Amino acid sequence: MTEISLYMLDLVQNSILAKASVVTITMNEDITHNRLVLTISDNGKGMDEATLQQVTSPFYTTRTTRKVGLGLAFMKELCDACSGSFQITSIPNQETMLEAVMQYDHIDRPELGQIAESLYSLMLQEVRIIYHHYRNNYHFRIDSEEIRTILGDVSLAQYDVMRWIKEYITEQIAQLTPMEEL
Amino acid sequence: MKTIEDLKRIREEANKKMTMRHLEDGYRIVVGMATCGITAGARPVLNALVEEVGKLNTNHVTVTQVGCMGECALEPIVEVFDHEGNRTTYCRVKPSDAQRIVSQHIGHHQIVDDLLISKCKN
Repeated sequence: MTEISLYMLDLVQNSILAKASVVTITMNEDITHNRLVLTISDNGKGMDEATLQQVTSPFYTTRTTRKVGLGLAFMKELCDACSGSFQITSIPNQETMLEAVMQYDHIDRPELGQIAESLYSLMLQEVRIIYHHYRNNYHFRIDSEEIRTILGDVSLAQYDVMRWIKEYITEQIAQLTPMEEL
Repeated sequence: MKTIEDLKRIREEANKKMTMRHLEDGYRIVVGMATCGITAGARPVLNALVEEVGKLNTNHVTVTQVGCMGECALEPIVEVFDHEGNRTTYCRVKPSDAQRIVSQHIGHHQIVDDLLISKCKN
């Protein structure tokens, strides 16, 4: 995968498959400490200790169509390649959380990519998505529930709404830090 | 800059425009969004499909996401279900194909032959 935002999309699909109703994503560009930290936490069904031990193996999967599962394996491999770390913890039916850490300026770290496209794809599904983006001390937050409340019975899939959501997210993230501070 | 006020305005305008063009029968478009699909480029395909369907201004077509469809090597895979449940499977779909799938298949009820999984060469 060529963008961090694609990893994010892939991992949140796991949360949705685990029947989570709320998923909280935090993208932290901690440039001061030269770290990129992506955390995803959900309230899905979670995993027991034995399963947790296996999930980052490419030969572990819950799907029935193939014997391999690469999502978490890809993420862990990328973190390792970027001098970072990868952790996943779970309290079944309460909270499952993963944390992916990468060296921010590592040459192998992919760019963040089209975060707005990934978030919009996720928001179309029946799950509440709360997204935080930090760049040093600057913060942006968007909550799909708040968007749905404003929209009432107007669909998120409406053309104008789609344009607004994607452009709003892109603009808000872009203006997090004045360029001269980067 | 887009603001929350803009979104409220969009909502009010959408509510006013209740003259939605109803298609006679509904369609469901399904996009495979597991790791294999995402890696092969399903995200821009999904976004392009939603965009094209959004332009139709109808509530009779839904675009949904599913997990692995089992033919990882042929992703991105898009399936179209008509109101009778008939399934059409398109494979190796590109974002630029979205317009054809929506206008030809949904709009004119004609299957897009060259994208069919049965026509796909390995």
